Amino acid sequence: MKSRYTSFPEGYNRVAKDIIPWFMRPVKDMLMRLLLTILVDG
Amino acid sequence: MNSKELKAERVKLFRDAENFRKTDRVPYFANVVTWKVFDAGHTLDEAMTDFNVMEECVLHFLNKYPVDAIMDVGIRNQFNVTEAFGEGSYYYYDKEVVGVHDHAHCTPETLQQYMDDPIRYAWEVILPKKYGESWEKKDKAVWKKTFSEYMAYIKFILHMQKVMNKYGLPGLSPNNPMKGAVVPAVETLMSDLLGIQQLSVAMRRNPDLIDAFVQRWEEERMEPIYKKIRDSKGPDYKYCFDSSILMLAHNVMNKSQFERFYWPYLKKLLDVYAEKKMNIRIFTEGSILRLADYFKDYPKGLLTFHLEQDDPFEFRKALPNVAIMGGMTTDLLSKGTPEECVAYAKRLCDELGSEGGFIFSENKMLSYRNDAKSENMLAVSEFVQSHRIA
Repeated sequence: MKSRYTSFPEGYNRVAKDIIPWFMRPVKDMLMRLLLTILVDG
Repeated sequence: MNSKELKAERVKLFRDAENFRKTDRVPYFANVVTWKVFDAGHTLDEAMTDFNVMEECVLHFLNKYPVDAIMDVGIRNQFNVTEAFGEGSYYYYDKEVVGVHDHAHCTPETLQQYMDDPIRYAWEVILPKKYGESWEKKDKAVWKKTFSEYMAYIKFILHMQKVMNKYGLPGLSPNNPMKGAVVPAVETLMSDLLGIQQLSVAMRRNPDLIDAFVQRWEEERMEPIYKKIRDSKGPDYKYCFDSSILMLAHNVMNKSQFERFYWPYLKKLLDVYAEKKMNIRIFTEGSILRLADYFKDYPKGLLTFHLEQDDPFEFRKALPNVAIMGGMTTDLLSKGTPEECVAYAKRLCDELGSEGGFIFSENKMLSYRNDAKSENMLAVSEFVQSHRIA
């Protein structure tokens, strides 16, 4: 079954909402960009 | 001397050497990466997926070898985050080897699409390609597991920063993963976006596409960096250097390609650093000697070239205005005797460091088991610490 996180930007935003805890939301973009960098580069 | 004072003294030693000020000894920046894992009796797969093992390897190295700084404190090669997400396609490691296959995220035709929205491109093109069919099945549990490993990794990076402080070890430069590195356009083209093969072909067949990308990279990525440098207070004495840049792509370029795609942009960057009287390290992978003329007019103090394949004595003659980092070869460290290694280290320090301008280091990142013998590393590190410049 296709994941609900595959599309962009909907899936991307949903990942951020579902996995980043509320107290980290203010730095959501930075966290997501760094995570993407690690997944792409590593 | 406490660790804070020790760190400050080491930074001064590095900065003096970079600025061609005479020092009483030559500083040693250990270009050591994963070799320390073998030296501590472990294998790569054990250390790269377990922070405790990696920390043990780092401490083993720091307690055994007297060095002034180290290239990596165990944070470069960790695979917990990517493995939590699933099996990828281009990085690999086993007990003895870690490496990356040549890969390309783009074609010359999709470079502009990448620049239009890099996050979208990563999401819609790079990750689906890297993870294959499994990309579409990544569910909440996988993302949560990955995020949790990602937080643990950040915690480990911060923890190892404390370890460095405890040992009085300064960092290489402020370019860390949290702030982002300064990467010239052609370097990102070669290492990630096009790969070696596509870049080499595109510079001949599609030079206009490369021009367009490089100019856009300059406007969108580099201009904000120039502004940040210009707005800064100047050198940051918490670090050995103010910036560290890697040059590799020049090796696949002829002089006219270098003049078209690389030099005008690199010059602009170096000129901005020069305005602020900063100290820049450039890791010149491969050879840079044939391009020496481009760098001959910069004042002493701006540039330190970490040499890989160039002969340091020949380089000093060609560019007496550029400080040298490196000199000790992994060939000698792996095949020579301690006496031979120390004799060569003495020649390097005496001939290249008598008036400043030299930082002792290895020419390659020590990564594999046979890159050095432990007794040679010990002899060399003890010699460099104790040898006084006449």
